[in-house]
Parts: sequence; structure tokens; C-alpha cells
Amino acid sequence: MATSTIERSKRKTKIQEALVGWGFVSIPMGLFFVLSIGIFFYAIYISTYNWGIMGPRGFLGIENYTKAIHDPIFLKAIRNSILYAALVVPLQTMAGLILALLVNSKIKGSRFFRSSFYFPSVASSAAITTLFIFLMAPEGLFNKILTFFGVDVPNLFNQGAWLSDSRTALFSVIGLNAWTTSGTMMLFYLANLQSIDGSYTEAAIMDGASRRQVFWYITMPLLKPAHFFVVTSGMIGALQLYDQAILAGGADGSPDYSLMTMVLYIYNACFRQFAFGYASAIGVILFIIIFSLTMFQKLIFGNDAWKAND
Amino acid sequence: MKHRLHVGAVLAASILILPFAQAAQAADPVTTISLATWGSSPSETAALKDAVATFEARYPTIKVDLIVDTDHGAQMAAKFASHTPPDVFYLGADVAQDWASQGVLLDLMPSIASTSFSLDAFNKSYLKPFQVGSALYALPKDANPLVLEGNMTLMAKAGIKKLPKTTAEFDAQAKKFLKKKITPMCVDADINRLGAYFVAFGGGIADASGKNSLLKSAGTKAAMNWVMNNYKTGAFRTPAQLSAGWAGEAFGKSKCAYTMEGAWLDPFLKDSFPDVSKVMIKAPLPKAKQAGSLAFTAGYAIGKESAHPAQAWTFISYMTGVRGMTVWTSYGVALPSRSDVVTPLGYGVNGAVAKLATTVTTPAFVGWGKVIDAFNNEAKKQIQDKKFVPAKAAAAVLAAASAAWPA
Repeated sequence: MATSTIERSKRKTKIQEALVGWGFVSIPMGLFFVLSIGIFFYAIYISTYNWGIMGPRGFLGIENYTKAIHDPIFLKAIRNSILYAALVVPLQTMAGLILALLVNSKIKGSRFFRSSFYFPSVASSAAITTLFIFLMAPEGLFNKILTFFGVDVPNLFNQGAWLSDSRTALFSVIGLNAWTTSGTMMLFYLANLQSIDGSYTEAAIMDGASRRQVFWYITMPLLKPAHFFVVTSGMIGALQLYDQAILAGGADGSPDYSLMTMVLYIYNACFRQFAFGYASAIGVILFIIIFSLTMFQKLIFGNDAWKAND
Repeated sequence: MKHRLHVGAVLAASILILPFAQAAQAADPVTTISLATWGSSPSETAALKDAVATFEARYPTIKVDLIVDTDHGAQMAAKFASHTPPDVFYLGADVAQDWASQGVLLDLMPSIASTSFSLDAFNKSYLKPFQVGSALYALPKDANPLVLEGNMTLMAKAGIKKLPKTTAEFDAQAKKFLKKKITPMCVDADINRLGAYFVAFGGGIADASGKNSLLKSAGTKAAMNWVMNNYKTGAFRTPAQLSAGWAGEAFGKSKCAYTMEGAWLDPFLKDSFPDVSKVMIKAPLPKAKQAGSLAFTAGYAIGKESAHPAQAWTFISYMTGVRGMTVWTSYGVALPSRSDVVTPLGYGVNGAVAKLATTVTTPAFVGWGKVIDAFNNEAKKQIQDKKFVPAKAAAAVLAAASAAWPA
């Protein structure tokens, strides 16, 4: 009798706990389903219409998609975004890893360096881009440094106009973002580095491994989860480049659409041309590109990249 | 007893007066309308606030909630999409036809027809961007033609006393400036600036209808060749080449002797570069085949879904009427778009250019923004290489803009 009462009470408590748990989870999950999953399907729905500011103006089927793949400016935006991601991701990954290794070593003032390296990531993107525009202007600090080292800036192929020359504008923004994001990547690597059990390294050293061998055969493989996270999140962020592009090149991504990115093109389609259906189609294409690349990365890094070092 | 009588009389009077007071209140409730604008300088926003205050003083039952947007186009699109547009808002002539095609604007003609408001005093070319068939979607709040501004200090350094009257005079002066290592003119490679020379050379951007392209005309080609030649020689330089955000900033920093802007330059210089503001002189743009310029206008429009269209109309009709426009333009940020409002003191040159028959308003059609983007992107690409050939570059820019022109 007493046992069944206790059992019943335990079950009741379990149910109550479950209800409370589901209660807490249901709100964020509901928001997630409506604002993330729901919005995604709504975007697919909108992309099949000629959708203006006030709503649908006619069903188009896949016309917005065929229009996009024949739109030379959109194709340029894809090329720019992919080139940007292909260069900025390895740069920020390498810089983040080197900085993490540096501040993880027992050098003097490592705390100061840690804060200094992370500082560009904390500063607002708009503020840092504005600062960068001043630095890279024809009469800016960067050209002054080049002049100091004997470079004839006015006679350079771009006359020192790094951000207003279509041949150098995108590469300048790549440099900017590799610099500003390397601090965040450093933190991810640092967290992973500090979770690595020191006994692996000690054992390897005792077995006669050199520092280089320890790095390549012990540290690097154990940093796999960080590699996967840094590369994947870096690539997703890179393919969504918008703020630096619009600040440096304006809404039209000038000159020669060299700073037109996929997200900037979505902004143009939405807020300058009021083609919400077309913008949604581009958004869906962007999703497909990001999703495919993420799956590809998962394939390369393997399933165990998700897991932490046990 | 006497006291009680007094109290009774006051109460009785209150009871008698209350219904009338309530009726008066019911007849004149205060309505707040929202006004969304953009602001190019603190002076301009301050001038608008003052002009709005004169409206509120004249119409005490209408209050205006001023919203200065940072990205007017994007913010307005979001408000339209959420069916919560402001009651009144600025409408740029360059996007008016695009916005009208979306069905978000209220046709003002019924309000005009039902009141004594007249369109006769408005310059017809300033009304045109806001007209679609018989509908009118905004009333031009002001106008602003491009004029030539010169820095007398830099002119004196090159031994130049007067602003050039012709393009030939400009060419001769440019050589003198360049000898003294002074950039003669800062002007962006933008169709909304260079288009003024298309008119001066006898061509243009669009014909009188504002829709058909003139980019293939002989005058436009000649102007584009002249412009590109100036970029080649260094007589023209873009703001980016001079490490400035826009031509007015380059002029304010004395990085160029001349620039070509509208009346908005004056308050900007007074706010940011008062010393240069004191040595600035103005003249019409240099003549080629004829004198000519580009003029810009913006209007006051009402959202189709405005909650207070009647009060919004009262506001618009005041601000674009003689009294409101006189107050607004008296601050010198823009010129009147009505012929019966006097040009403010100090803006004689701007006013004279605005009245020229060859001063044309920028085109207005659905897709004009794509033409601007195509022209500007190609122009900047062409001039970035020092070795460019002006005639080839001019042809490439006009071809790119023509290709973007809607069929």
C-alpha cells in the first residue's frame, strides 16, 4: 500500500517535471518553428509569386528562379560571395589558429594579447568599416605606410584607391574581415585548445616526438571540432556578407558591382525594386548554397567533428 | 448663506457650460499625424522642425510627429509592407513611379478638386515625376538645381578671378589649376551629376516625356566624351579619388577648386566648413551648346493606408502652399517649387538656374534606379585605370546605361 503511494507520487512528480520542462521548451521551440522553419517555407511560397509591397500580384511558378540564374548582376553577386568566402574563411581560420596558439603559450603578456586580438571582433562592424574606409583612402594611413617604404602610390595600377577600384575593392574587404573576425575564431580555438588533455602531449614528448610532430599529429587532430565549427560558421557568415559591402561600395555595390554580394542583392531587390518574390527566390538559392556547402564540410570533417574531445 | 449661493451659482454655471465645453472638445480633438523624412544635415532638420512648428501654430488641432529616417527607402518599404505607413512622408522624384506602381500612395487629385488648392503656380516639370495618368501622388515640396560652386582662395592661388562661363573657359582654367597642383573640379561619376552636361551639350538623359532615352543622342555622346576627357586629364576627380565621402566634403576640405551641387551644400558648409563657406561663390554650370542643368525635387505624399488622410492633406496643402513653402525655403536648404514664392536671399544663382528653360528634372519611370546603377558602376570602372581611352570609356558607359533602360 505504502509502496504504491510512493510509486504514484514519484510518477506524479515525474509528470509534473515533464510538464514544466515542456512548458519551458515549448515557447522557444514554438518561436523557432514559426520564425525559422515557418519563415523558410513562407519564403519559398513568396518566391513563386510576383510579390510587391502590398502582397501577391500574380503566380509565377519558378519564373523568379529562372530570372535569377539569367541575371548577370546576380551571377556576379554569387561569384563575389563565393570568392569572398573562399579567401576569407582560410585566412580567418589560419589567423585565429595562430593567435590562439600564441596566447595559449606561456608568453609574457598573453592576457593583454588575448584582449587586443579580440578587440576588433567586439567593435561594431559599421564603426570598424568606417575606420577601414579612412585607412584605405588614397590619402589614408595604408598608402602613407606604402609611401614610407618607397612605393609610388599615385602611379600604382589603382592609384591607391583600394576600395573604389573594382580590381581591389573585394580583396580589401576580405582583408578587413579576416582581421576583424580572427579574434572570434581565436576564442573558439582557444576554448578547444584548453580542453585538450595535457597527458597526450606529455606522452608524445616522452616518446621522443618533436614540437612540430606534437602539433601536426596530436594538437591538430584534437582540434577537429574547432576546425569544423570555425570553418562552417565562418563560411556561413562569409556568404552572408552585407554590412561591409554596403558601407564600402554603396547599395549598388560599385564599382563594377565588385562589392555586390548575394545578401546586398536581396536588399536591392526588396527595398529598392520592391520585388519581394524575386528577393525570396534569391534567399532560397542562398540557403541551398549554404546548406550544400555545410553538408560538404560535414562530409570532409566526418561525423566525429561534431563531438567534443572525450 | 451668501457663500452657499456663490457655490450654487458656480455649480449651475459649470453644469450649463460643461456640455458646450465638451461639444467644443468633441469638435476639435487634437490629431497627431506622423511625418517620415530623410535629413541631409542638422540645419535641414532644424529648418523642417521650424516649418512644422508654424503649421502646428496655425492648425492647433493637428500635431506632427516628425520621424527622420536613416534609410528612408528601406524603412518606408517595411512600413508599407506591415500596413503601418506614416501619414505623410517625403517621396523622392527618382523613386516616385516605382512607389506609385506598388499601389501604396494616395491619389491627391480628389483632395485638390474638393478644395481651393491650385496647381497652377507649380513648375510643371516638378509635378511630372509624381503624375501617373490623371493621378498625382505627391506635391513637390521644393526644388534644387545643380550650380557651380567655387573656392575663391584656391582660385586666387591659380590666378583665376571668375568662375568659367563656358566649357572652353573651364578647360583653360583647369590647365592653370593643374599647374598649381590644385584639382579643378570634384564631381562623382554619377548620372545625376554628369547628366547636367548632357543637357548643356544639347543632348540629355531623357526626352520631355521623361521616359524615352536620349543617351544615344549626339549631344549626350559629345558631353560624355568631354567629361571622360576631364577625368583622364585630372580636371575632374571623384570624391573617392580625393579621399572624401561626397563632392561637398571634398570641396569643404579645399581638395578641389570647384564642385557642382545644389542648395543643400550651403548649410552643410556652414555647419562643417564655415571658413570655406565664407569664400564660396556660385555661378551657373559652364555652357557648351547652351546653358543647362539638372534639377531635383521631392514631394510630400500620403500613404493609401494613412489613418488620418484629411489631416495629412491639410498638412501637405499648407507646406506646399505659399505660406508653408515660404517658411521652409527661407532657411536656404532648397528653392521653391512654386513660381509665387520668392527665392531666398543668397540663392539668386540657384534661383536663376532653376528658372532656365534648359534646366530639366531628372527622369522618372519604373526602373530608373537600374539605369543609375548601370551608368555609375560602369563609369567608375572605366575611370579607375589611368590608361583609359576617353572616347571608348564614354561609349562603354552610355552602352551600359542604355542596356539597363527599360524597353
